[in-house]
Amino acid sequence: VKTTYRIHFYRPMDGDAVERWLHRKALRGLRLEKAGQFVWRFRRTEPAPLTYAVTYFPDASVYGGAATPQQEEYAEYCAAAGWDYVTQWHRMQIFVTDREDPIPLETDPHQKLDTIRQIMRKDTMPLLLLLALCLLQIWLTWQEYRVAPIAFLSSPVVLPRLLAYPLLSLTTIMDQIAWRLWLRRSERSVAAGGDCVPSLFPLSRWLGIGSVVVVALAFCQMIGYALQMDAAEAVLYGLGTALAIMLAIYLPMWWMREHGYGEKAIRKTTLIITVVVVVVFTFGAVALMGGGEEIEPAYWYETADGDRTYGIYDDPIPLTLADLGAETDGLPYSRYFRSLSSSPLVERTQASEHCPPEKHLEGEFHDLFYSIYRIKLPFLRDLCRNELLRQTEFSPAEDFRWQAEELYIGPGNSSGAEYMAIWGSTILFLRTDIPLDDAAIGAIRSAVLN
Amino acid sequence: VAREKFQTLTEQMFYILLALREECCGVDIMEHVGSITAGRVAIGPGTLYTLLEEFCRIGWIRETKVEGRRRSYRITIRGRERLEEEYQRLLRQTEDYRLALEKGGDAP
Repeated sequence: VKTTYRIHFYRPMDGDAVERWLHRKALRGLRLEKAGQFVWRFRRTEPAPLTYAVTYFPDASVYGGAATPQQEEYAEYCAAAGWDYVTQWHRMQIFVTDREDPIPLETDPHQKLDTIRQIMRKDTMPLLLLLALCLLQIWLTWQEYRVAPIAFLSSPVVLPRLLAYPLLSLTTIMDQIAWRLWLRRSERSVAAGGDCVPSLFPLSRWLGIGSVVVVALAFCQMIGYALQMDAAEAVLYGLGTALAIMLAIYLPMWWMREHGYGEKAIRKTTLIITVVVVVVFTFGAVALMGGGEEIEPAYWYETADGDRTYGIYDDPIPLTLADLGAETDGLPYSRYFRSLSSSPLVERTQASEHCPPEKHLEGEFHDLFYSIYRIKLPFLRDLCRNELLRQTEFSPAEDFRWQAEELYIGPGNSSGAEYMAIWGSTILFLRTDIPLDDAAIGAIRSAVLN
Repeated sequence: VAREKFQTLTEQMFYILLALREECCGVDIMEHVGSITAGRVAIGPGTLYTLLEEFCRIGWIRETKVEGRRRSYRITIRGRERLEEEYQRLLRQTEDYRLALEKGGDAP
């Protein structure tokens, strides 16, 4: 006897679609044996025109577990009418018969509609709770965006956050709409002496599948960024992580079902494991994202009186004070560079070059600080520019030497004058005390644009 | 809700109650209804199970015996009254039909 497995994308309310799918499988010689959470097991047999019937049992648990005495009694009624119990999934119970004209499991559409309504009522509350949580997350995301739009857009988790919750909300809402529409149509049909109408399956099913794919890709991108991987590695790693999470949650559930544990034990164990997995995954993700490791200084500089110690960095930075024509030799200048954050939307890098404050008192010194924003989607450029203009009181300026599309000069402070220049999708914010001559501006342009 | 729901008995409800004038278990009811109606009315096992639960809940039938998974039921006095009411309603309905045909003078 050969067994084979099939992944399915049906939802618990797609009973009639499941019946047709299983019938088609039977015609091709695949007979359902067991329904797992996502993968169903089939046995290869001779092709046969088997009829499947899906019925909903209000007391059945979504966690499965050993059949209750009521379920066994129900199955006995069905057996007397020629229907063999196959398996259960969610609150759905699946029966099969090889009779040509079997008595349907449900011969009273009113009763059938009542049962489905009862089940949906049970399942609606958790869905509404999920929707409320998603909407809360969307609101929090919006608040975060409002407070610091550039930091938000350049955050590596921006895509999952922008996509996951809205898509999950949309899917839940669509499911609810599909269910309400189905209910209304079925009520009309039953009142007119007909049966329940077929489920409004395809639209919300494909929306659900599409959402899962989009969100999965967004998570892969996030993981790829965190672990510095290329796209293929990131997808593999992302799928591996998702598979590991699912196995961690569903494997114990499956094992307990196979060993005949009761619904209560399975429910409790699954809840505990889910919480542990979610906590471990969240901490793992936070550790991976971590905001970058703190870069160790190249050496420590101690002040003459020994009171203070400064960490001196010696990172290669794209634009130095020397490039701007300043004399920095002989002083312990610290050159610090880091990528603040990067996403498929915006990348932020920041660099600075300055000497310890103690040395300021010893004579000639200079300061340089700059941030470079690379906007990867053109429509976000104005948004980032406006946000930067909002942060500092810049005034528009004209200086052809910059060859910039837009140039702004800020009020400056003790560390020097401030400039903001925009070339295409690159925005530079720069502060320095060095007066910028033609050569310095040329050096800035070539450092930022190359 | 239950009263509204069972204001008019469906054919299947009627025959289940009728079958339970004698003590029966669920599986026997299906056969019994089949034989009373000469196979004209078939009750699906899902429908039967749900209706038995509902009838028990509203007190039209009661559980009389439990043997393993098999539960037997019997109609209660309330159930009998309800069945009788339904019978009278059906009689009135057939009487109305007969009178209407007599007045109209045409037969179906």
